[in-house]
Amino acid sequence: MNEIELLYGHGDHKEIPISEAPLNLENTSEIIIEDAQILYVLYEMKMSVAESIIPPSLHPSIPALFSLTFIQGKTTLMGAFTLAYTGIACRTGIKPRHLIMKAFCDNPQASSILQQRYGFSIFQAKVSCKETYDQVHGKIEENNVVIADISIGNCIPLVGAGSIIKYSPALNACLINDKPTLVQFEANYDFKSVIRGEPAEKIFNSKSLGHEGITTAYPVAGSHASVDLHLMPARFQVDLEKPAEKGGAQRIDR
Amino acid sequence: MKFGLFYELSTPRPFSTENQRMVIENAIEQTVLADKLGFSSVWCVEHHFLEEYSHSSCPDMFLTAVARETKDIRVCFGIGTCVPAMHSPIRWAEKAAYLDMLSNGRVEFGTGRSSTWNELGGFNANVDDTKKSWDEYCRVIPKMWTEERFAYEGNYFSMPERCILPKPVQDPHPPMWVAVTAPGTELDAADRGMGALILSISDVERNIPRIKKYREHIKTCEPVGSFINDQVAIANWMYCHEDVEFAKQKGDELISTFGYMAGQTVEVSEAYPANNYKALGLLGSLRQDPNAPGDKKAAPASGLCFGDPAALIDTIARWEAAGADQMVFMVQAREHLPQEAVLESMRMFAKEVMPHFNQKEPSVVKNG
Repeated sequence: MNEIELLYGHGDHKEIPISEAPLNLENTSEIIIEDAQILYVLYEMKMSVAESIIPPSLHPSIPALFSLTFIQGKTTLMGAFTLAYTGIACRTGIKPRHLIMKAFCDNPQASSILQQRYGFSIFQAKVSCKETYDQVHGKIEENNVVIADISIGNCIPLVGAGSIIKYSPALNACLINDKPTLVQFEANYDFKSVIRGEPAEKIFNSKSLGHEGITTAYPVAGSHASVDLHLMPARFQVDLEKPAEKGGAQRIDR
Repeated sequence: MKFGLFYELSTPRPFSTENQRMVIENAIEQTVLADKLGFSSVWCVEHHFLEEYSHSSCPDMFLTAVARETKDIRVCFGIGTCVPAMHSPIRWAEKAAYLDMLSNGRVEFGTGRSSTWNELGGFNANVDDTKKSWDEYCRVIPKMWTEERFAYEGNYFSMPERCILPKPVQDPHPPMWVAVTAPGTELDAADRGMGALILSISDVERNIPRIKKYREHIKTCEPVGSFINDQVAIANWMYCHEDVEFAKQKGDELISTFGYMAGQTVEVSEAYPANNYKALGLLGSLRQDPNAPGDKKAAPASGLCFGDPAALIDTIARWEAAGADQMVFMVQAREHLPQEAVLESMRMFAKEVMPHFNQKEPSVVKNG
């Protein structure tokens, strides 16, 4: 039999936007954001598009998926903030993760901390996450233009052991010792309540959200969770330039 | 203790005709040898869209091919998916009975509901209802086999009165099983008088309380079929070689290959949060955070059957003491091992391990 053919991303890693803000790995304190709100919607996308974006250092997921996540903290040391980001499902080794395409935040201090701890490359924007009687809305407005206005509706509560959401950790492209590296967003979630709903979109500007190939034609599910969010020190990194089978996720040495 | 083989039919890329045929033909050759060596069962999964991991979309067809090439070995659905978007229960009753005819009464029928978004999303299935539809299917299929004419009005399936044909050879019908991955599903099996096909490949010790609870619950079950199928089968890995370290090395490679393939799939609970998918299924449970090269390697599960005959006898004896009735082995992953190595491992196992165990008949209690 011929040599086994493995499944890799085919994207050019140089095309992935890299945060040039210096990473501060020495800060290993835990940040707790009580009563954070997380709105998370997941869509299927074309496999060929995902493969063309994901670099060879990562495996794509099957089927190809992308997510739009809103995280809101109202009373934090960083002040009130709402962060939003898009990601494409991938994996390193056999663990699911999401490669972050673009991130937005409405609070410069929170942006700075998230950039330094996890390598998020964050654009300033008006970002909101609002719960109404029967829906939850997420909105991103960049340079006075709304680029995303989505919601979940027809919600049902998730109860008991099912009342958790398995968020795949985000991977951010940044520099460690001048080397292009993916750093994993490290968070623990203490869930207080969770609902699942059907995603709906008023505005979804694919290009502004990271790539014109991410479309909302095949929604999977949306969820809204109230959690105590524990931001832990970054633990894992992936060498962006190494093929997946030679690199993969490695623990960060401090 | 009885022994069987378990097939996912994992297939290497590229998905050429050559590769796809090789996987199926090699598997059939293994089952023919297994039949001659005294293995008691061949189980085949049903999966859809799981690239590399499993190309076994039509287990009934694979099992039919096996049945016609073998004499005694039982042909077992491991499992048939009981989700309306994928199958009508009528078709399962027909297919299983038809195979029972073609195999002259060697069918066992495992049931399940799928745990991946790849499959349920691909069929546009109602994820929230899979447990309920599975329950309904389990109850109607035995009646389709045993009642001359059958009519039904239910929540997920209804039909006017018809004669479902053919009827199975086995009297009253083939044994019924449930695939068990998430904790607690073994009790769903027990409460319905069905066998538990335990797929969570792990330590012997972790399964002892599950098997014990299964045995306790099945004593007071209300069987969905005409008899109680009080059996626990454990899906496991097996590679037998005279060199223990070589066998363990090959075992590590098989599990690593399996994990790589499992990692490509999307578990339901990762995509579509639902009250009826609280735990990760088999594939998701295999995913662990990676370690840095210097990290201490996690110990392999204690119940895996990789080693020389003496080591395997010891491991299987522990499973037997835990209450398992049957070990169902995966012997290959994406054709990682040469076919002759797989066949030789089976020969050694049959010659040096199987004689140490009393291959008793399954425990079947007829109703009334």
